[in-house]
Formats: sequence, C-alpha cells, structure tokens
Amino acid sequence: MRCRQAQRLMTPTVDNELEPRQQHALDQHLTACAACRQELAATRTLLEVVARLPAEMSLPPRLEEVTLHRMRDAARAERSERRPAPWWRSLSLPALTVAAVAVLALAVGLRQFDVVSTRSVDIPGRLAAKSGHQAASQHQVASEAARTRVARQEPRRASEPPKYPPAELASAPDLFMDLPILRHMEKLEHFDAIRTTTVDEAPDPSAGQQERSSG
Amino acid sequence: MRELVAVVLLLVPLLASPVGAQGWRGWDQLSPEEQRRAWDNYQRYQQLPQQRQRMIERRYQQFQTMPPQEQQRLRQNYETYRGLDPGARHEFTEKYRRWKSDRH
Repeated sequence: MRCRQAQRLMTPTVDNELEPRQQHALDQHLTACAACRQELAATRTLLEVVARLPAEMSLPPRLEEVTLHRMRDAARAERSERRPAPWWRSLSLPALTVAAVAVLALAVGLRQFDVVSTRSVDIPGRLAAKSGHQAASQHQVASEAARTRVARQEPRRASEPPKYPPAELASAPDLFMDLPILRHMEKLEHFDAIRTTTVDEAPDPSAGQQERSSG
Repeated sequence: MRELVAVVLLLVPLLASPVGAQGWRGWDQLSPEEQRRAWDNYQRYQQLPQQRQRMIERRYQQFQTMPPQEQQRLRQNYETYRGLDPGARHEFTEKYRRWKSDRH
C-alpha cells in the first residue's frame, strides 16, 4: 500500500468502516510509515473535534435565504463564464473510437517495427536512441510505473536502501532477503538427489528449457 | 489495485505461518546489511518478468509454510550451491537437467 492509498482509508478507519482486509493492509502500512501515522493521528483529532460540534444549529431564516440566493447567483455566473467545449467534444463516439483504435494500431505497429529493426541490426546508437525515446515517454506515466520500467531498462546500480521502502518490500522484506533461495528452490529442495544423479548421456534439450522456465 | 492484491497475497501466508505469528520483522527492524540485501534483491525482482515474479511469490508462500528445519536445510543447500566453483556448478546444472528429465 502506498501513502496515497493509506490516506484515502484514514477517515474510514477512524470511523471503523474498513473491511478487515483493508484494515490489515493499512495497519501494515502504518507500521512502516511514520508520516502516515502522524497523518492518521491528525485525522483522528480533527474528526473528534468535528464530532464534538453540535449537530444542528438554529440559523436565522434570513441568513438561509440570503445564502441560497448567493449560491444561485454564483452558479449562474460560473455557467456564463465557462469556456466553450473543446472541438473533440463535438465528435461522435464512433468517430472517437475509430480514432483511438487507429492511434493504438499505429503505436503497436511502430513498436513492432522498432523491436524488429533493433533485433535485426544491433547498432549501439540505435539502442541508445531507443532507450532515450523510452526514457522520455516514461515521464508521462505514473511515478511507480516509471520507476519500475526504468529499473528494467537501465543497468542495475548499487544504491542505498531507502528509508521508506516500497510497499511490496515493506510488507515482506524476508521474501527479498531470501530471493536467491526462492529462485533456486527446486534445486535446493532436491539438492542431494540431484548431486547423486549420474550424467552418462547428453542432456535432453527440452529439459534445459524446463530448467530455464522454472529456475 | 494489482499491487494491493500482490501485497495481500504476500501477507496471507506470512500471517498464517509460525514465522508470521512470532518472527516477522518489519523493515525498520532489519539491520542495515539486511536492508541492503533486501533492497538489492528487490531491484533484481523488479527486473524479472511478471510471470517469474508470480512464480517467486508462490514459492515464497510455499517456503513460509515449511517447517523451520526444512527452511534451514534449504538455506544450507543454498550456501553449498553458492560455494560451488564454476566447473562444479556446471556439473550440478547438467545433473539437474538430467534429474528433471528423468522425473518428468
């Protein structure tokens, strides 16, 4: 869970409205995130203060009438000042759909062409241009997705562990500590049996594929 | 949403296992060295294809349900595997392929 998601759950959790699963996820996040703990404490205090306010107050009839009148005036003024609808709103839904499909097809086609050309001609400059193009486009997607994609494309650099790790890491750090064991788990489970196996013929190539697919 | 499901999937076996009930440690409770190792491996994990990530999550769940002595056995085997020189590791890999093809 990320801080943004946690913050959305803060009011419901103060009101005891979360499902157990959500509550648990939030609790896990809070154990690892001091900022969200502070935020939750502030939310709790605020809601308590609000709850102590009187539920109803008697207002002078004149005040209600004036307030409603002003709200109507404000809404009217906003409607008159609103900008004209953008040009694409005038297009029909089928036209928009066709345009979207065309753009998607073009994007897929370009990507295929890019992949094929990169594979067929292994020029470092081309690869550099490709990664540069991808890096530029990554600025347009959500920060998490961009971070993941960058991590997949750039060579891994040694970096300091963050003070506030990503939710996946914070929720199960031992998974990542034991990652090498998990990657080789089948080998390790049958370690002794494998070591005593005799190899007297060339290995079956299909077995190699299985090994690659299962780790 | 997918991340939320993944986190919940990771948490379920954690809480169901004896490790989850007693020995689970949060990020802040890890030593700096452990944090560094977990962070490095997390970055490697992020580079894996999603299918492989799901497979590791399944194995993690399986690992969590193993008795502590079985977990310890796997850790020892890993240390042995890690200590193999390149020739011995190649031989082990050949044996693994043979063992696997015999098995299926």
